[in-house]
Amino acid sequence: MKSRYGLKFLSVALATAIAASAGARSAFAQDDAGGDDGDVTFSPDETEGTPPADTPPADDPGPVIDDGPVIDEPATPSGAPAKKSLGSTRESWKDIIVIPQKKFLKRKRFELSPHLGITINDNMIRHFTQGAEINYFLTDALSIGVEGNFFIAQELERYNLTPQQHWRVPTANKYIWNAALNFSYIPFYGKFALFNRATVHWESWVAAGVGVGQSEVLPRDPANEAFKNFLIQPNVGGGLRFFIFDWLALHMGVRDYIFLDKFEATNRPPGGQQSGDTAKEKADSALINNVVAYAGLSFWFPLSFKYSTLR
Amino acid sequence: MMMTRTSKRIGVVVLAMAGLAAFAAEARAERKNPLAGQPAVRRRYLINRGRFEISPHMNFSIAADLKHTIAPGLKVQYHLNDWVWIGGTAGFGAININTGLFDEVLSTLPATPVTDGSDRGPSRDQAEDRARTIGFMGDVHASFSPWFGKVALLGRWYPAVDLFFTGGVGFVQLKNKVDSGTPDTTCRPNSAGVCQNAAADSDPRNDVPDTNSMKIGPMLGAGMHFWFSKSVSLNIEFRDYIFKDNPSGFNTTIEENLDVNADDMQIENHVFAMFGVSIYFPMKVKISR
Repeated sequence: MKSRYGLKFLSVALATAIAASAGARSAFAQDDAGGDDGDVTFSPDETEGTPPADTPPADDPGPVIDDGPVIDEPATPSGAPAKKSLGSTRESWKDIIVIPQKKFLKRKRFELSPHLGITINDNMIRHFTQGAEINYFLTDALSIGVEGNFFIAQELERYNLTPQQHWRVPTANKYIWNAALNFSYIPFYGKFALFNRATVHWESWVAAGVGVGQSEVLPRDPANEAFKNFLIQPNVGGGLRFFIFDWLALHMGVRDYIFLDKFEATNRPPGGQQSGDTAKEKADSALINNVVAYAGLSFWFPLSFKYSTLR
Repeated sequence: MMMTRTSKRIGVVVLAMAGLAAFAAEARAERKNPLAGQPAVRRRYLINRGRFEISPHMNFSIAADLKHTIAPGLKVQYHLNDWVWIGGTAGFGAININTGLFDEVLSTLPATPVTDGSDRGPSRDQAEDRARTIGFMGDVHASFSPWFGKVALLGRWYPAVDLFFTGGVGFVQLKNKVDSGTPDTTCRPNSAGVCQNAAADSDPRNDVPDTNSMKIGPMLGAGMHFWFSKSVSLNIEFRDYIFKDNPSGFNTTIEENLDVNADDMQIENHVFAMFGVSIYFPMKVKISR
């Protein structure tokens, strides 16, 4: 009998304790998270001088605007800076990081990115590029990769106008292909709101690498033989990724390939009198910056990822 | 009695299970995303109606034909709301630098014109005088910003950013150094009775190009703002001024004749990169929650 009453008391006490604990946690959680109704708590320096805003409906995704002025430096009536209390409101803001839970994780994933590009700093020969790069992300911010491009040359108006306006045929080369080993780092990560509705996550990368390539001279006299150059090409670049799905992103960037190229000498005799090899030996060298802007899609492998931490 | 005791036991168990269920439900609630239902961008700077933006800046030409232009300028804008603003830009082509191509061409030209027909190219001075420069450039424009947000820089600095598109009417004053300064517009009918404005001597070296005047055309561009504070931002912008031009000042339509006339002005793109610092007035800004 005593045992039965003891069991009953224990059960009631357990149930009461659990229910009370749940209730208390519920109240605490509401304070902490600010609830689901969009009502956000502010720290004293953020709310001073700001009239309370109306609470929006729970299903309203749009922003809630404070119409009051913003106080840069919180101050007490005596003019001294207000002490920042570490109460629940401050803690609640601390709990929300600026860009919470990155939408896209890249560590130990491969990126395969086919792309199309165009040279942007040559006023005589425009090159269209088609290529691809494969990157392996050692961390979420650091990657190593290889790229390859084929170039298609297009003569611009200035290239054709110069002979008829100045009676001089310009010296120019066209590029055929290049390949490079690149290292990239991601210093910027952020998100954009599109029309204040959809949120687009994006990042910016910077990269440097070294590679090889090939160019070919465009003989000023068509009767002369062209020759090709093998190039050592360091490069630097930067760009953006806009994340669409766990396995897909929009990828764009600008790379500057810096190299020493050989050009047809200005005194090369016309009419095919000099072979390509001889002309190459007597060629003039010049330092070239070939700046290419490109855009493409990024496919990520494995196709999905898992978060290992809450954030 | 037995029945009553059993009922009490059942009641206690149900109560305990209800408590556990409430605890479990709360545990789930704690894991709920605290940002659910919150604004897409919190504490966004609102550049609302009535705010002015003044932006001193530098323009740099990109892939110019013969003369690079560096033009300091000022941009003044008025924000109609968070999305749309209107304004005007004025810049002065303080620095005009020969491109590598032009330097290469000039180095091969003779010091004085060759008249015996062995070299029909211009002299160095003739080429320099006819290559046009940009004296003034400006525009009136409207801009639209559909994207705004924040970016984490090295995980430590979190500026607000936006991306905008701009378009309007551009005004660009072209200048050359040809002595007469005005194009020859005298009508000289050819054998078919069609006016040949320039002296129809088939020598472009003594003609005056129409590049000593203000050109008007559409301007299109896109750019970004990075806010350092609530009233100062970095402004990076790319603009394309589209207008009729003849950068070399020589003939471009050899199919008709070799003379330089109005037909040699062709519609061309002139792309500029603009870097500036924008200051907003009034300097206090409303911020979204």
